[in-house]
Amino acid sequence: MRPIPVLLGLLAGLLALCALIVSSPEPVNGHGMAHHAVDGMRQAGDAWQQSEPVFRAGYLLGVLIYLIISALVYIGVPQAKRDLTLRLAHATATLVVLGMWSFLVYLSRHYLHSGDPMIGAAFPLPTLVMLLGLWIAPVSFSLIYVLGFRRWIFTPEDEETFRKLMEGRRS
Amino acid sequence: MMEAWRNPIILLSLVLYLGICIGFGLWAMRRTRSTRDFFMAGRSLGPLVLTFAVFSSTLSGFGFVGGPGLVYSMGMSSAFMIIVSTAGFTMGFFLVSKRIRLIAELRDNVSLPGIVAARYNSNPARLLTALAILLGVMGYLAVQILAMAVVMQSIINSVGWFGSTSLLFCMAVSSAVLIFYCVTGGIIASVYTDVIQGSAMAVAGILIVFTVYAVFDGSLAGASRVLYEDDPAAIGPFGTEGMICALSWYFVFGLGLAGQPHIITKMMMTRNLADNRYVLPASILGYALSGLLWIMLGFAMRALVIQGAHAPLGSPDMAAAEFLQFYTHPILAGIVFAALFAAIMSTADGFLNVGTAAVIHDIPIAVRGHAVRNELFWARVVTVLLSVTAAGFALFSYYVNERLVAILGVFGWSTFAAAIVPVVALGLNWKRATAGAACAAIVISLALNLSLELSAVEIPWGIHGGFIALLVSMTSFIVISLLQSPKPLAEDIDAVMDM
Repeated sequence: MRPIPVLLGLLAGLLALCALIVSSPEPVNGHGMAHHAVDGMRQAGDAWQQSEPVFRAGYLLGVLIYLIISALVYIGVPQAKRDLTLRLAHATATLVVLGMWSFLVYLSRHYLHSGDPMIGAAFPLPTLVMLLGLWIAPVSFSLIYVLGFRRWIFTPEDEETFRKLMEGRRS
Repeated sequence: MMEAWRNPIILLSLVLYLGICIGFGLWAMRRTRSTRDFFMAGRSLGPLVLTFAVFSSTLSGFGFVGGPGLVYSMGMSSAFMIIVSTAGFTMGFFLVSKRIRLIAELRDNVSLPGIVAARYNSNPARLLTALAILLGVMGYLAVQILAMAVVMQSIINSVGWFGSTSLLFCMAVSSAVLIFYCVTGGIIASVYTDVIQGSAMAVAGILIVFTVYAVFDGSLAGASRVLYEDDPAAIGPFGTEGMICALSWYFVFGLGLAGQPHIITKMMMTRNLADNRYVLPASILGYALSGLLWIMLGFAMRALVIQGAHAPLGSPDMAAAEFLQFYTHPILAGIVFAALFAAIMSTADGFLNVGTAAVIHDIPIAVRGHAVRNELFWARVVTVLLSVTAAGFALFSYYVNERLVAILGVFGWSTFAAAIVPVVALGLNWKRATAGAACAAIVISLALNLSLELSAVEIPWGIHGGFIALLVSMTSFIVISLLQSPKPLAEDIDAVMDM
């Protein structure tokens, strides 16, 4: 599949989803309000009310954003170098970030609905997953770059071609 | 004992850092013999220096002052601006770092608009990129110069040795140092000050985590529980602003990284392209350590204020300063304040460099067809002029029209993102992209960002205006390219795009 039409489709999908979200009625203080006691601080108020009307749309928004990131990473590898190993590695990396995002959303729903603070080490569990999991998950894409640098990013053949280009310019 | 010397230690750290900057300026002057040295550090940076240059440029003074303030104010919402760095750096390296470096060497380019001109064989695209950069630079620079003066004034006045020091004096001193090392050492001085900044930030990020642990008697869970009982969403993963707002920041700050001229031009400066495989993970790690400052300082101050252990802050932006003032060891406070000042200065010098290149190199070539004579001399003159103009904007904004810098500042991260990501990040990876689409994307993004800022429209669900602008500019770039007939690429550019 050609990646640019896929990217265009994802961008169009994201635009359409944004239009849908923006046109849906936002609850009062849907994205926070002034804190009840401390000036300069904000609070969410009823987190359930804040999140539930758009929870599914928000999840989908995240999925589309991660698919766009995945598509852009794929576009960053020249077509001729996109072999089966790269495709498998790329698909795995995409699944890792999507899996982490889905896990975070699942935990967040439970956190907001159950009244259970889920505080283990330092932060509530969903916040830990956001800070550690979602921060680290895209390393799966970075690994493709780091480990596959000489195979997919800048091969010895590329280096030779570039050397000849430079020689051609000098002469 | 040492506590009594807290403010003098902070002042000493600042003076020491300014001294180092002047030293780097003098040292780098001897290594700056041409415009390629002045703007591109002779394309000779090793992996360590490049790593610090890339990740330090990403975290400006906003990361130290605004970031903790956002966490103090909104809980975890703004953490999405930080955690996206892994994806952001990775996309930047996949999409931009290789071809921008190869084209820079192939065409002997010293600026981002030069790369755009080479890719699209288009002087209008070069001109529009240079103008977008210049607009953004003026806004960012004014904000950074104002921040430098405010921080310096607060440090000097807290010592109390010199009575009440004026903002104008602090602006003059800090700008003089900035101008000195930028004029003498160009980008070489800049990237080596980035090493100091990056080291201080990474060390401070680790130490702050331990300090916060100590402040809460080894129990961050206790602090989290305080926040949870006050407002569960604030300490939840999406903070007070909710999922949609957090994701819109994630998109703009992640994808937008590939469009920040002061960051991606650093990718043109590497000595050996193969070093990038080390620079990427090291940049991610360095930024992650520095990002701990953003999250932990704001988290700690919110918990301290909610539990009544600290008085509410006059402004959220005071979160970092108050924590450093009251809860950290004086030496750590000195390191972080020096790192804060370094972050502001290194962002400012990066912008000065790309702005100067736009003025003396790209705009003359786009308009007259050739660069100015004696570019190195004029680069130094324009560096001074840009600094003085930006300082003027900053002062005017501070004393007369508070909104001016805010309006100029909007031509910051999100405008660079919307204007440059499609043109550079997509354009360098898609042969079908056209010069017309590049020009249209820049114009559309500037118009959209400016109109959203001037009309002060608040988008429902807290969606960031830059998110809409970036989405629209990327989409229109692809659609317009598909609607136009592509022109054949220059042979060398075509070859580079196959690599």
